[in-house]
Amino acid sequence: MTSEATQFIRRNVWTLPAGDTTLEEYAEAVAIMKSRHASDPTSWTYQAAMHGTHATTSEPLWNGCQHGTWFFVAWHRMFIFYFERIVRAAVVQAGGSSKWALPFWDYGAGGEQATIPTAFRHKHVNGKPNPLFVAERAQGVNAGLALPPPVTSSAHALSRRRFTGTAQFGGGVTPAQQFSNSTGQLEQTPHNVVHDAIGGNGGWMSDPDRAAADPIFWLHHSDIDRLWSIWSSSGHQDPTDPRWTGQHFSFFDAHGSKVEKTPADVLDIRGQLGYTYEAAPPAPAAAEPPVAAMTAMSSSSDEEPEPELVGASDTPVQLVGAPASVSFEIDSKASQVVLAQSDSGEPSHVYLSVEDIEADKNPGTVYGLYVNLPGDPSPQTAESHHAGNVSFFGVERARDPRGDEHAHSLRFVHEITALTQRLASQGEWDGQHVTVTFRPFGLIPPDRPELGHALPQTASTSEPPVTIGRVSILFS
Amino acid sequence: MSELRAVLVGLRSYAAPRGDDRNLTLLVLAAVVLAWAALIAVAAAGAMGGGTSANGSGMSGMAGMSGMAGMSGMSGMAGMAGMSGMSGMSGMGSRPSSGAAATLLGSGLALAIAMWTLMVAAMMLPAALPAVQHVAVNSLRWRRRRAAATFLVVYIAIWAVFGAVLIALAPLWSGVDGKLVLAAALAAAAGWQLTVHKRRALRDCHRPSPLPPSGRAATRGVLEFAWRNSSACVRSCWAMMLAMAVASSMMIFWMVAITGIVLTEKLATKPRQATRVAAVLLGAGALVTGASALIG
Repeated sequence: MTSEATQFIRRNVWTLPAGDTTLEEYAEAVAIMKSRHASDPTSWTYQAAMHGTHATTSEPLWNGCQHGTWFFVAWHRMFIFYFERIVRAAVVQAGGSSKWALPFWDYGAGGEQATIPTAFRHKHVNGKPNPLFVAERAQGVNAGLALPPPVTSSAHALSRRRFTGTAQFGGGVTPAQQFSNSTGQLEQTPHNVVHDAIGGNGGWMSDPDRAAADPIFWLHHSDIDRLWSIWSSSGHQDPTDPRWTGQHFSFFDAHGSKVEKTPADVLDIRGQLGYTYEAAPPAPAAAEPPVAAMTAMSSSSDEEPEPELVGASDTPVQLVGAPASVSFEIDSKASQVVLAQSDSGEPSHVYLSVEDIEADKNPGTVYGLYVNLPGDPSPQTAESHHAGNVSFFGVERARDPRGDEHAHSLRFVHEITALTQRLASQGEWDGQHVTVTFRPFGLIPPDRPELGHALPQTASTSEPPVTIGRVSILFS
Repeated sequence: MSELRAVLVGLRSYAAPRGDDRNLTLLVLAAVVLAWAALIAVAAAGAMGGGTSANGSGMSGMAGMSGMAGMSGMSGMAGMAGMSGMSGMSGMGSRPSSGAAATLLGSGLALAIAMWTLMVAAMMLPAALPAVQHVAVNSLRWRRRRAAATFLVVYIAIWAVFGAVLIALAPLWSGVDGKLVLAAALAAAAGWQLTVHKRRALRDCHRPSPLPPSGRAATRGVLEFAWRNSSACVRSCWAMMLAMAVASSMMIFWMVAITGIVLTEKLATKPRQATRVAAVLLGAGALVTGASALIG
C-alpha cells in the first residue's frame, strides 16, 4: 500500500480539547450507519457482524474476528482502520470534519479515565436518543463506576519481550480462525477483561457476536491498537514469519468495496496507514514496576525451551461469581528435571496455566488470579499476590464455533516468575505447595483505586457457571 | 489455499516434532511406517499367494502372510482386510476336513482382527498423533509414556472392537458381489460426510478434557480423554473404514485415499470444504466401483 498523504491523529477521548466535536460527529455517523440497510457493508449492523453475529444467515466477511491467535492485533488493526474510514465518510456526509479520527479510551490512565466517557452513558442527549448509548452494559458502567486498575493495566502485556511464545505479547502461532487457543498477554489484559467488565452478564461487550455493536467497542480497540504500536515502537519485534506477515484478510472500505490487507501492510501505522496516536506517557510499564522490571531481567536468551508441566490440580473448579481456590503440589520428580538444567537451581520461568475452561454462557465476570493468598486478605495483600486475570470472552464460540471451525476449550497462560520470586523472599512460595485463588473484580468509585482488588460489594453466587478443568504450574 | 497451508503446517510439525515429545512422535510415526510396510508386503505377497492358493499349495502356510492372503482365495489384498478373508474362508470350508476348518476359522478370525488393527494403526494413527502429543505434553514427564501408551491402547482397542463387529457382520454381505458391496459402502461414506453428525464428530475430535497430574485420577483422566477422542474418531470415520473393511481390490489405493481424507479433515482449520470434497471423491469412487461391477 502506498503511503497515505493525510495524517490522522487518534486522540484520547478523555482529554479532547474544549469545543472538540469528535464525539458529536461520531454519534452522528453512528446514527447514519444505523440507518443503512443491514446488507450494506458500511452499515452499523454489517460492520458489527464482521466481528461476529448471532444471525443465522451470513453475508460476506461476517464472523471474521481473530481471537486466541497471533493474528489478534493485526486483524483488529485492519478492522478498525476500515471502520474509521467508513465513519469518516459518514462524518463528512453529515457536514463534519474530513480529518475525523477514531479516539481511544485510555482506561489504564485510571481515575475518571477508567470510567466510560460521559458521551456514551446517557440514553438521551438534548432530548434526542443518543446513538452512543447502549443499555446492555454491566451494572454501574453507565452510572460512571470505574474499571479497577488490575483490569485496565497494560503494564504486564507491555513488559513482554516477544510477540509469540508462551505468555508473550501477541499470541501463539495458529492458523487464521475466529477463536483459537493461544491468547497473547495484550489480548488477555486489558483486552478480554475490559470487554467482560463493560459487558457484564448478558451485555453486548462481553459477547463477541454483539460487542462491535456497542460504539465503545471501537474506542476500546483503538486503545488496544495504540498499546500494540507502543509495544512495537519500544524496541520489540513484530513477527517476521511469512505465515503471519503474508496472511490475507478482507474488509470493506468506505465505498463498500472489498479490500485486502496482510499484517505486513499494517506494521507502520503512520507510513502505511496514515494515522498516529496522540502522544502517550512514555513509560506506561511504570504503573506496575516489580513485575515488569523483574520479568525483563529474568529472561536473557531469545530461545526459551518449551515450559514443562510440574504440577496441576486434579479436580475441576466451578466459578459462579464468588471466590474459589484450588490447591495442589508441585511434583518434585518432574520439577527436578527442569531445575537440573538451571544454574541457579531455580526455574528461569514459572507459568500459571488456567486450562480446559468451558461454559455454555459467559457470565461476564472478570477474576483475578492469586497465588498462595492467605485467608480473608486485605485488598493490599491481595494485590501483592496477584498473578494475572482470567475472563471468558468468547467461551461460547470456543466451544461451539460459528461456521466451520474446530471446537476447543479456553486456556490462558500467565508468567508468574517475578511473583514467585517475590513471594519466595517473603516465605510465601516454597516451590512445592500451590494455592490458586480466583476472586471476582467489581467496578469501583473512580476516586478509590485502592479498592481494585477488593471483592465486589454484591458478589453473586448464582452466575452462569464456568468450569475450570485444570490449573497447572509450568517451569522452564 | 489457507486450508491447504494449515494441513501442510500440521504435517511439518510431524516431520520436526519439538521438545520432549519428539521421541514419542517418532515412535508413533515409526509404528505407522511399519504398519504401512507390513500391509504393503501383505498386498504384494497376497498377489503371489493368490496364485499358489489356486494350485492348492497355499494352505500349509497359514501362519504366514502369504498364506493368509492365499486363504482368502480372492484377489491379492483381500485377505488383508480380514472380513474379506473371512468371506473367502466360508467358501473354502468344505475342502479340508471339518476339524481343520474350525482351526482355520479360529486362526483366520485372529488374523483378520490382527490385520484390521494393523490397518487402523496405519490409517488412523497419523490423525491421532496430535491427541497423543496433547496427552504427553499435559502429563508430568515421568508419566508421559504411560499416559501416551494408555491413550493409544484405548484408541486402538476401540477401533479393534469396531473391526470385530464388522467381522462378525461380514457373512451378511459375503454372498453379494464384492464390488457392489464396496460401492454401497463408499456411497454410505459419501453420504455420512454430509451429515451434521459427521460435523459434530469431527469437532469432538478436537476437544480436550482435563488431565489430572498423578495417581488414579491421572489414569482416569487419560482414559476419559481417550474415550472421548477415539469414540469421536470412530463416529467421524466409521463409514470410510467400513468401505476399507469390504474392499477386496485396490486396497492400497483405498488406504492411501482414505488416510489422506482423514488426515486432511483433522488438520484443516475449517474442515467443511475438505469434508465435502471427500464426499465427492467417495461418491465418485462408489459410482466407478458400482459401474465396473455391473459391466464386469
